[in-house]
Amino acid sequence: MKRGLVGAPRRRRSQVRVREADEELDRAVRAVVRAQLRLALTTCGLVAAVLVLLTATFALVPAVRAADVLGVPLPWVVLTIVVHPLWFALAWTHVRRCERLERRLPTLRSNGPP
Amino acid sequence: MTLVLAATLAGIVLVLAGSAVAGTVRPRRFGGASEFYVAGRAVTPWSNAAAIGSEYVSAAAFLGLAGLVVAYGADMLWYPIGAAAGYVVLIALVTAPLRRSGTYTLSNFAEWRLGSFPVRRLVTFFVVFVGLVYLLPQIHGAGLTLRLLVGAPLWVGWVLVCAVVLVVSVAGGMRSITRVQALQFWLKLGALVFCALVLFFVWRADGSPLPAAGNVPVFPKATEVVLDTRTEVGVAQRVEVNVVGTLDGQYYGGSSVTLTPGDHVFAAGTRVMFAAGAAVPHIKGDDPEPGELWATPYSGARDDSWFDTISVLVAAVLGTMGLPHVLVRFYTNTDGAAARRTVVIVLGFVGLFYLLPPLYGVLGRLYAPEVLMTGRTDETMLLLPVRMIEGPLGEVLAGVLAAGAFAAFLATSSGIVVALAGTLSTYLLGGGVASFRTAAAGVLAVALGLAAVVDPVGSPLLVMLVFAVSAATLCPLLVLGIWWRRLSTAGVAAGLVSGGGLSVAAVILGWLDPPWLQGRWTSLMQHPALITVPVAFAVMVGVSLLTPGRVPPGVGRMMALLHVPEGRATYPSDRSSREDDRSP
Repeated sequence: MKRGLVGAPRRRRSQVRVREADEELDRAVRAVVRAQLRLALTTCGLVAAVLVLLTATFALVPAVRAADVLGVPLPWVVLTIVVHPLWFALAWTHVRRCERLERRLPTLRSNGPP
Repeated sequence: MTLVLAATLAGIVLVLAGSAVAGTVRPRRFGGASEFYVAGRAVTPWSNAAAIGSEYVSAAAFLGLAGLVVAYGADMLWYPIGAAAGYVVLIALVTAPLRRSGTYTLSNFAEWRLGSFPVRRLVTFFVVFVGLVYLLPQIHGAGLTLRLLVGAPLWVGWVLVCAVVLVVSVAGGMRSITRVQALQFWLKLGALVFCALVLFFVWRADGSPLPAAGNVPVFPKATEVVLDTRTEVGVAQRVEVNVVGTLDGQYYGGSSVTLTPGDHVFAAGTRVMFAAGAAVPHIKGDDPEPGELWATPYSGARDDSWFDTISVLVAAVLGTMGLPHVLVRFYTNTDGAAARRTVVIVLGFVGLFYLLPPLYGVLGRLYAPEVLMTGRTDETMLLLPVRMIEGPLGEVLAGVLAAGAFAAFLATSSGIVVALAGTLSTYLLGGGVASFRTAAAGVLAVALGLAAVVDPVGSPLLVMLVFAVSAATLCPLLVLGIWWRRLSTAGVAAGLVSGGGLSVAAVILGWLDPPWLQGRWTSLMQHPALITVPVAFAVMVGVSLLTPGRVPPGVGRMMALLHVPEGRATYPSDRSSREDDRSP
């Protein structure tokens, strides 16, 4: 169905029409790449923010690195138990958002770039 | 110790034989080249995730991390955080587009994306470098494990691992390896969790002592330490010992000696008896640190600054991207979306797994502190069961852990060998089953040769080198290649050479540590990623912008292929379908 939209190539079709279709598709693709890149950079930015915040807090705030949770030093609790589920959640959210974006894609293409 | 020998041997034989059988038993669809290279591209996310998890839980993560925690405490917890974060970045930037590109290895990707054979050659060089160097610690780990538990010469472990990897990869290539790695993943996790639980309850029964509460590490009970090699130690507190062997050039036949504060040298083969409660002398270069400092990040013996940590994290996060054995696994998924889901599952596995090495590290600090004296912190985990539990149970547990460790060596090394065999056979030998087998055998032969030449003590340094080089070469290539249209061949070549060259130079300089480097710069040289990665990116972008004529043609179509889901875009002027994978 989508194939029909873009037009299955036929050798007899004029080069001009092919090029126009190419350009239209190219714009759509650029929009897709931008949308994907936005999601990717958001996720990477969050990862960087978590890492910078964690390291900065422990490095610069002595009270935090000396704190205890139920007798276990806070840094150990955070670094072994809290951060890994956080990574999982970030990855999971990213995949969900990508898949939603990709499900919407046919509509996005038929209407051209947003 | 005869039981520990029997248990170890039984466990290892089980792992080796199980792997060989699982790998060679005739798979459903056996034969074709696509089975060898990409397991028919039909591996489900769950089993692919188990396989990736299996490769990921390597000797370094399994034994090395526990050992690092014993020695340096909380500061070492950044490594697993960074390595796991690497998978989040991988999923965001690389996984799905790379799978959609349909190229099989990083070298193929580079050639397809840039249309340049010289660039492909350069990328192949870095992939092989990263893979071979990463293979070394696995092979060394196998040798050390067997030496510790069975007393075998080092080369026995090396040869065993290489032989099984050879059998499995020659028998069925990627299909076999996937099955074997998935099996080994559950073996490893089972062995680790089971032993951790038993040791945890022993610790509870012992009154739950905490290293953070104590002073410098002490021997929990009377302990005999056997020093296989000449060992220089630093003593902080006076300690009474009995020595059989040579101490500071003088022979003792078992008489009592007082070690005064300062440096002492034990000759190879010396046995030293410590009383319960004696402070543990530390190998020269490591200062004994009180529990509170050890348990707190940014304090104590490792005077890491915030910048050091960030630099280590940059290397770990971005270096993960270039590990050839991980990337090649995505091609075994059916499509980009499945590859992405695979990585999410991997992250779940990894999060579970990483609870364990810190636990073993804490217990090691309490019950096996002698590794601080011998400097062989990698042995911590394997020593723990015997040190914590008297009698047969401890020895059997040591055997179980050894079997798990062997599963780790096998899984990671087979992953690397398959990835390198795929890269080299399509590059040099024209592809196909026979060339894949030849390449696998060749890679293993070279790795064995390197293992014999390189000192195992250098393993952590090598792993650091791998991550630094990978983060400054393969990472910019992948990220810019996937997302940036104006990348030119000249830019890639310049970026690879400058990033790789700078990383290697910095790590070597940090290792040699010439006096003019003045301490402060040493640690930056050892973890150069904070500087080399931005430089590599800047060079790649800068040179690309200066050489617009060298941007390959057809980039728009490549971008569509990379980022639009499979089967959703067909260029009107290009009838060749996107299902047309460029892998063998």
